[in-house]
Amino acid sequence: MTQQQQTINPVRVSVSVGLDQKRCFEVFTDEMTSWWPASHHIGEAPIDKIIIEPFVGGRWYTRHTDGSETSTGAVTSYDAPDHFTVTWQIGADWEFHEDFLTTIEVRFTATDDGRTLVELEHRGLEAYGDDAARMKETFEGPDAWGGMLTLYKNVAEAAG
Amino acid sequence: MTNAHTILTALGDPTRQAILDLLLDGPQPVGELAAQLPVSRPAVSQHLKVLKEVGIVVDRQEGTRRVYRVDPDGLVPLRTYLEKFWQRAMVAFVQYAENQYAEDKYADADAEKQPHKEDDR
Repeated sequence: MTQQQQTINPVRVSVSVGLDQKRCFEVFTDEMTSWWPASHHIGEAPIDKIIIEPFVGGRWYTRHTDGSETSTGAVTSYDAPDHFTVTWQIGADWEFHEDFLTTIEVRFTATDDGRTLVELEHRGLEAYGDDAARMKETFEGPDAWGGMLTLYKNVAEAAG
Repeated sequence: MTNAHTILTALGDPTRQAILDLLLDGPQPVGELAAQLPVSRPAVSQHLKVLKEVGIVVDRQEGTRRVYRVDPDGLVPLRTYLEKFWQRAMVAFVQYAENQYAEDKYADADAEKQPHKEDDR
């Protein structure tokens, strides 16, 4: 459906961090477990460690306390300490999908005041709309509406 | 702008879920939708009106018939959700990163302070 191929503006968030660029990059990637909002994970068990393998083709995944692993995406560029891109393959049903692709790019730029500007862009969001078949599946599955409503509920709570 | 609670409420109805489901296959006029559902055509129109009001469905006149389709802008709440999610994540990152950094700095400051204290005595 052509109307589904409309581009959705990327989500862009930037922050200034009181760390030098190298350290900032390291903390963001190596210590993601420490700062990632703990309530946001897709596995059954709590997060043990979030891992971004530091090379192109590496995995971005979470190891849970029960030993299970959940994938988030793959590393598509890795250029420390300047930037990296990873895929975010979490669909509208809040599950990982091999063939569902959105992209997250994170840039680290040293600023004159000795701080670092961190810019995050989450793009390719039209995949959520493109993937009408997947959404249809989502809607038809046994937990279909549960999943979708949970998503909307999250939206609601975030908005509230 | 539609708030997420309104969308939730609109989607709480099984007939409206079924209509959305059918529309995800492609745009359709009321008559075709009604033919596939166990409810009357006026009832389908009524449900479409609700879906339109919350911004999930849009319609367009095509010759003699009015065709309904899913509106990709209905995904706006999802974008909003992701935006809030990343904002929260980035704030958490800054807090963690700067706390770590601040601890280092205080450690240095304390180390410098210590000799001064000794001097004062």
